[in-house]
Amino acid sequence: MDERHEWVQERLSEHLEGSLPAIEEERVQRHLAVCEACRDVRAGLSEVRGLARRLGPIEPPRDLWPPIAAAASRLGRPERFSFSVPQLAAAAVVLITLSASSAWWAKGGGGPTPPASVAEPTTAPVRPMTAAQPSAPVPEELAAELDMLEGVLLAGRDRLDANTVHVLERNLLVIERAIEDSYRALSLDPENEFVRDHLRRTYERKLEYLREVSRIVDLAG
Amino acid sequence: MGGTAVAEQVQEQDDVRRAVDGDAEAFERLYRSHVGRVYALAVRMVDVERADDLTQEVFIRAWNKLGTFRGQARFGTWLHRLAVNLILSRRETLKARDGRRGGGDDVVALAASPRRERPGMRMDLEAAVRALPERAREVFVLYDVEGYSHEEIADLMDVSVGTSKSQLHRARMLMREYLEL
Repeated sequence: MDERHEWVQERLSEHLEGSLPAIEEERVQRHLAVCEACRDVRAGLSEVRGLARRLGPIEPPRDLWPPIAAAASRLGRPERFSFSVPQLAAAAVVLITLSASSAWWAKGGGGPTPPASVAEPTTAPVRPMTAAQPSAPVPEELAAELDMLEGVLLAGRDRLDANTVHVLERNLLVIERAIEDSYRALSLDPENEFVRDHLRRTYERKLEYLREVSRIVDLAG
Repeated sequence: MGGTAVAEQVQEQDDVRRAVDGDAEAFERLYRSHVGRVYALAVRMVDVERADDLTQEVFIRAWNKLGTFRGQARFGTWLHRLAVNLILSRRETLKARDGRRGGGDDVVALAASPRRERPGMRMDLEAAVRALPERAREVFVLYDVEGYSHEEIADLMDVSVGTSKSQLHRARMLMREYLEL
């Protein structure tokens, strides 16, 4: 095969992914514009990719559950994840440090007070649950679960009494304000690792809270 | 997210909580929901003969480790990652135990078999995946079928990102050849 064809064909997978360096992409495209053979290869690779994405689950031909059930019975309850005393002590130190630091940061930055407690009282009008997201970008690895849990809330809101909904929304609002505050601080000081970490932890706190709320929705039937 | 999907998610979360508390019926519901994907992974990454054992091993491991699932990801994602890790860790043992077939014999068998028309493409496709050389097949399944990134594959398989990319390209070129595309 001509060296140019070989060079181009070796890069066609990355070309399809759009991950080639710009200079190589340009060269590949120039070649494809005039080479039918390489266009055919590209079409074939693209079809392979499309077919692979349609490959779905395969049900096993026989029931594999009985031996699993027997093993589970033999093993007993799943092992629970637990912390040792030193781990708990270390976690407490981290928590205290973070709380103190966030208070210091909020005071020094002159921003609004961060949420000392989720149950902080507020008389402000409350946004409905799952209302507009704060403008701060959601950490990618948390986004899917946050989205799913907010969907659970939206679907289950009507199953809760009005007072419960009010309390939940109020607490969620406190957390979202903390996220906004952290994001605002980070925008002013993008290199500040502490503030970045604080923003992430606040999102994690929101996630924990939403998990609890989803259990409440669940219990409400 | 639709109402049915939300209800399924809520049910699954409930089943996970119950299973962590030792409820085998809840764990069976999780098994029934996810066994098809785990079994398919085992068939495509290893082979049909060992897929039953590997699938059972994945679910027994999952039961044992369920207490460490802390809900950061969806249960299916956690289970799938556990399955990939277990299957990749078993391949050396499996090869050592009874000798691993290469891709060659399957390719010969595939070439000798009549090519199916469109309605049967799925069969051809599965056979072609199984005929790929081991490394190329693993990367192809993880990237093109399961949607992992090259970075994740590099981490899972302990190879470089460049190796993952080159094995994927090799696999796609061979698949194109096998399927006469």
